[in-house]
Amino acid sequence: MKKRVSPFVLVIIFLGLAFFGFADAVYLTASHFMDSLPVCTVIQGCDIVAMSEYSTIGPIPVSLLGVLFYTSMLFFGFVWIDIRKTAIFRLLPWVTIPAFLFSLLLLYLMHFVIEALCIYCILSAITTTLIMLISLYLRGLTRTLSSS
Amino acid sequence: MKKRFALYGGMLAAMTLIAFVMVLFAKHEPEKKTERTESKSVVSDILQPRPDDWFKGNPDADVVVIKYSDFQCPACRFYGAMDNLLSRDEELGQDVLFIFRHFPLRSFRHAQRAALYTEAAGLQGHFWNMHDLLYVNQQQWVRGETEEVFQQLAELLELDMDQLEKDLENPYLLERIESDYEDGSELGVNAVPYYFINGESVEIPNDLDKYRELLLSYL
Repeated sequence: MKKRVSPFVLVIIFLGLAFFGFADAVYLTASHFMDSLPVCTVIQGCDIVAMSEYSTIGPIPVSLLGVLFYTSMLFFGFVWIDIRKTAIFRLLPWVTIPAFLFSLLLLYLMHFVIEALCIYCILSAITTTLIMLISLYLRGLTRTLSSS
Repeated sequence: MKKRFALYGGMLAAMTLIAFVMVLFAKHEPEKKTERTESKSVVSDILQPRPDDWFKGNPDADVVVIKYSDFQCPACRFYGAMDNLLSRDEELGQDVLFIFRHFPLRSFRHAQRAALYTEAAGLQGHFWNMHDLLYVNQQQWVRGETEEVFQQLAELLELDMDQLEKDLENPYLLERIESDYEDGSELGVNAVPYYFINGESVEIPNDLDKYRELLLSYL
């Protein structure tokens, strides 16, 4: 029989990623509101991304959406640890897939339109992707659990 | 119930702590840039004004500001505007010499080409005009149709377009830009804009008044 990864371990990894993403998004949001003007460095390609018109939707910085997303992920993760209901796993992809697609759109804008590199944005995209993959796996687990 | 309290309490506490640390990190960044005391002294011939430097202000001024900069970087546009204003400042007026040197970052696709246009325009006496136009229109040419925008700016300055075409092909201009870049690298320039005041690397405040005060402190 194929050994399955325990959902608990996955949720812990999931929470670790969410905490990491949360830290990243809070940093970007804090930089946005404190109006710091980052210089462009040789390695990082600078915060041209953070200063572009795509960094906000109206008055809301995109990074704040990241904060909300990671907060909700943390909330889902902790609620699962609390009540252990698989319904949460079924719900997750409804949030993580749109977040992943949005992340792809941002990567596209960053690379092809703004033509600059923002390391924090790439990190966030990787985190979102991993979170999405874990959420899909967890959802898959609920299917096999309910069918067996 | 206690367990639940510990679980959610732990989550909130961890989030608060992370948020606090991250805000501190973000806050710490601009502070670093405004401290004159953090500057390090670089003794080098490279930091002597050269006759072929692009400059604004009095060539015999006591305070020499040498900037390594790039045309595609948004921060450089901002600092470029501050330098323009300060070079016309009544109080600083004759006492500060502002020198521009190229440091086109490799991560920017059009930075070197933009620098080349300023050099070519410079041969026709329009370096600073091209410098200003490139920054003002940065958003336009960064987004594509770069060459067309550069050409339009040159036409706006009523440059001799045939001569400009020839000059853009002139390897000497590219060498000039590259030589600035190499000098900058040797001086340890790792970000743009990068400033040296009287031979010392200085983090310039991103506030016009504070920048002005900093310059006044050298007089």
